[in-house]
Amino acid sequence: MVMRVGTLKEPKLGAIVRTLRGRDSGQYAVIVGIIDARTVWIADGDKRKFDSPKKKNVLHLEIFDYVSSEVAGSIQETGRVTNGKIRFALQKFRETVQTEGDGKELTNG
Amino acid sequence: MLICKSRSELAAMRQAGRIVAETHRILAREIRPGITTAELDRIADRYIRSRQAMPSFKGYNGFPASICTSVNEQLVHGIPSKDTVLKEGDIISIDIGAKFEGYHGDSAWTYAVGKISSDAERLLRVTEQSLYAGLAEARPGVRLYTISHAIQKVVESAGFSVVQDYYGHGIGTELHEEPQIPNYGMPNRGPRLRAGMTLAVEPMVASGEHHVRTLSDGWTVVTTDGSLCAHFEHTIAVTDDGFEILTTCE
Repeated sequence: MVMRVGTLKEPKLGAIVRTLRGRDSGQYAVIVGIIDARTVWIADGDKRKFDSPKKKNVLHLEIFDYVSSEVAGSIQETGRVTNGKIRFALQKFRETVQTEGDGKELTNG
Repeated sequence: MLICKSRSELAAMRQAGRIVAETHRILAREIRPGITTAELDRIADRYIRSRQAMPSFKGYNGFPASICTSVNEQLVHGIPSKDTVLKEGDIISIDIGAKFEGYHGDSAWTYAVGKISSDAERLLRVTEQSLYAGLAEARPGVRLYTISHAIQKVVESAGFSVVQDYYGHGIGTELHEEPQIPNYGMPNRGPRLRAGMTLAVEPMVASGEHHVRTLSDGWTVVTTDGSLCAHFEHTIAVTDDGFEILTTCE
């Protein structure tokens, strides 16, 4: 049985996402707010600025392991983040393309 | 967290995989015009239980059957029904999961019902080839999306589309574990494979556009343009120097 994209990943502030549904389908953005386990606010700092984020169902997002600590930290400390930092986070992500994190591993027995 | 299985865990997964493969072999002999998908489900359910295993899908997030049966433009998660009667020229993707001593095996195959069109034959052949092209990359040290890239290259070179909304996955005591395994991506990216990892690699390919939607039953996924689609899947274990297919009768 296949896995629906995004069903294993909990949404995190500052996480990079790619939209799968809607007119912005295929576009990259950053999670700038979490409403509940299934709904988040996203912004890209350009067409969708921080002050007018888009509400998205997490099932309609591909959530990458890449998290911008700068975006997350700014929002956690001040409740806001500049659009420049959002754009910078997306640019840094594009430079790495996809996460290279090895993840933790557990060997049983 | 990416889990590496011990030798005893792999033994249980090998048996779960064998039961899945045996079930596929039995159903392959039953597929013919006139049979219903409900009957295929009944045959599979009975066989899996006769082997002291449980069907992994039944009740999983509320799924109502033991296998998924997806016909023609249905990609995945088709629900077996007495009203779905196979006919000559159809293609049917059957996804089977079995849980043995706490460990899952998961494998899907797309079958021809009688004689199918040459376009459909090519779709099935390319999708199967893409699975094995991906698996050929599996060995310790290789980054996961190298598998994804190999699948994508085969599919798109043939002029078909990789479905992007559904992925393969890690597997073990849970049917779906980390990592998610897309069927597209850049090579040399993603987590490194380690011996003992158990993965379900499953390319899903559309003959038309890659966009899909879910029907009102909440499960069946179809291509939005109505084009034919195919699905092939094996559960594998990464070994010290390559990989082992677990969903096999051999």
